[in-house]
Amino acid sequence: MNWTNTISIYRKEIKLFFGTYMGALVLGGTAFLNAIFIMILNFNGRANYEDATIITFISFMSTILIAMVILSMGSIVEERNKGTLELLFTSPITDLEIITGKFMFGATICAVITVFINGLFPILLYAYWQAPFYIVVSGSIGVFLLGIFTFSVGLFGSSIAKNQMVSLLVSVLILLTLWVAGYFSHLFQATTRKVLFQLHIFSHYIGFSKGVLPLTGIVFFLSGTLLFLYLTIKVLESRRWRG
Amino acid sequence: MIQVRNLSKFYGEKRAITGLNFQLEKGQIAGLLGRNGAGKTTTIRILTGYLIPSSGDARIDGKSIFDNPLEAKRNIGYLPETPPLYEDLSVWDYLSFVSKIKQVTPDKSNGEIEKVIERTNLQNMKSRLISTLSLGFRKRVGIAQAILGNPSIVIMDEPISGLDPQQIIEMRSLIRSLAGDHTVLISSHILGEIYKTCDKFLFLQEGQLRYDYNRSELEKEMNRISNLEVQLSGGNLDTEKVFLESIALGMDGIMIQSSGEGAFLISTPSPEARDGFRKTLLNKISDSSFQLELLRRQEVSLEQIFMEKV
Repeated sequence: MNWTNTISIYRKEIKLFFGTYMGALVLGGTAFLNAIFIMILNFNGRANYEDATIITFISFMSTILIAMVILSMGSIVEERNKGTLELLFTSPITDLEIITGKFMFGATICAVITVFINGLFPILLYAYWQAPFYIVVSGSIGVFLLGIFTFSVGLFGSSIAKNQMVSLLVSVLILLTLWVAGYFSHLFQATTRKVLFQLHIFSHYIGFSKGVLPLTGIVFFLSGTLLFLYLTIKVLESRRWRG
Repeated sequence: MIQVRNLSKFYGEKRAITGLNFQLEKGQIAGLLGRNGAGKTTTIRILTGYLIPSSGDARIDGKSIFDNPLEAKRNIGYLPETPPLYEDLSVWDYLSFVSKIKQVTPDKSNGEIEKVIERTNLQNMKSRLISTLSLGFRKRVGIAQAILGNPSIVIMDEPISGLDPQQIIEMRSLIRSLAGDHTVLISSHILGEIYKTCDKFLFLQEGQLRYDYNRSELEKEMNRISNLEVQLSGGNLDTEKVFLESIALGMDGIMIQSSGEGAFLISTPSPEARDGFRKTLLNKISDSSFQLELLRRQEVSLEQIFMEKV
């Protein structure tokens, strides 16, 4: 793999993100929604800072999901519709380098949201909301892992869809399926139940928001991320055959 | 140099191109001609590595686009029908990105970008956002990215569509200037431009290469199908036609039609038959009551060849 190509794709994505409305929309929108959650959850007479922090980081789950799905939904489908995928496909650059560059961009924005948007609230508001540090750290790691997982699902959705709206629907459908499958896992036989429960996004995330770093959760999000990145590369490869 | 050997592509059951064979030498400018759906874009997309062929191979400067795509693509500059532009980047930033993914070395990158900006007359546009450019300038940016890094093969799909007459002249001269060091393949529906620009002509029909002409072969073919245009005076159309038919007596395959403007088009099966008719006409006209107002060989355009061949 040629890292110079990957970094070129990454820099182009960053430049386009901060040079257009997308930067303000994703970062500003996430900050706005997070601020509303924090205001409701922490400035409403709640005395137990620990519970408030746990619930706050559970609410951050929804904002990172929305942010990452929006960020990724046009990532490949827009390149194809505007014809720029033809430029990438006909340049001496591999599909792996293209997807890695795009994923690094998603991971960077996810880190920016985790550190500078989610992470800053507990620090800036410490006088009013004494959030336990260990929950802030584990919760932030959980938000980051969930974010990159969602971004890779979004990349996959964007690679198979014909427009941004379909891409959004595909990504939401995959995430909802994983959620619902786990949610209804108790209705099934023992083995099926275990398998479906392990697919439950929420059950993997909840540990992080409670102040622990569950190994199964880390493995789930990282392996899921790699799986969807791999599938995205395979979809791009198959397009060269199918036209 | 481009070598295409038994290239075929199927989209499911649908055949796009079959058994394509041709070779373009260094310095040649070739035109790829064919009706919509003839397989031009599929051929170009395979040559540029965008698509993988179902069978066969294409070699770019000896490197297989199928087995060794990265090496082959290093030698290709490609302008698709719709220029592949990031509209939210400035012209300079866009070309800078392209130079990186084309692996132009950093020490040469700025110089190369300046060079293509100058060649495509984009000097006053380099800091402008691409989204604010007119269609003609966008096309130029597309061409600039295609020739960036001085690739040995330049492939252009409809390079002059959307350009104004002045830009077309500039583009023609730019493409001609690429000849010599580069191999250029152009697909276009504007056949007049192809004829003015190219020195090799590939006619595709239903996914197969029907004709592969160089300029002299094409001119020979144009000469072959060229009609004689004759205008007489001294009679009415009917008597003039009878006179011309009397000249054609004994000559096989000659057809005489009124062109609708007081003149006649004489189609002949061969250039020799045409010359024979002309000589006989010149010999007999002085003995007749008619005067010869016009006698010339009709100009044949590439469009006419195209319509006859595909």
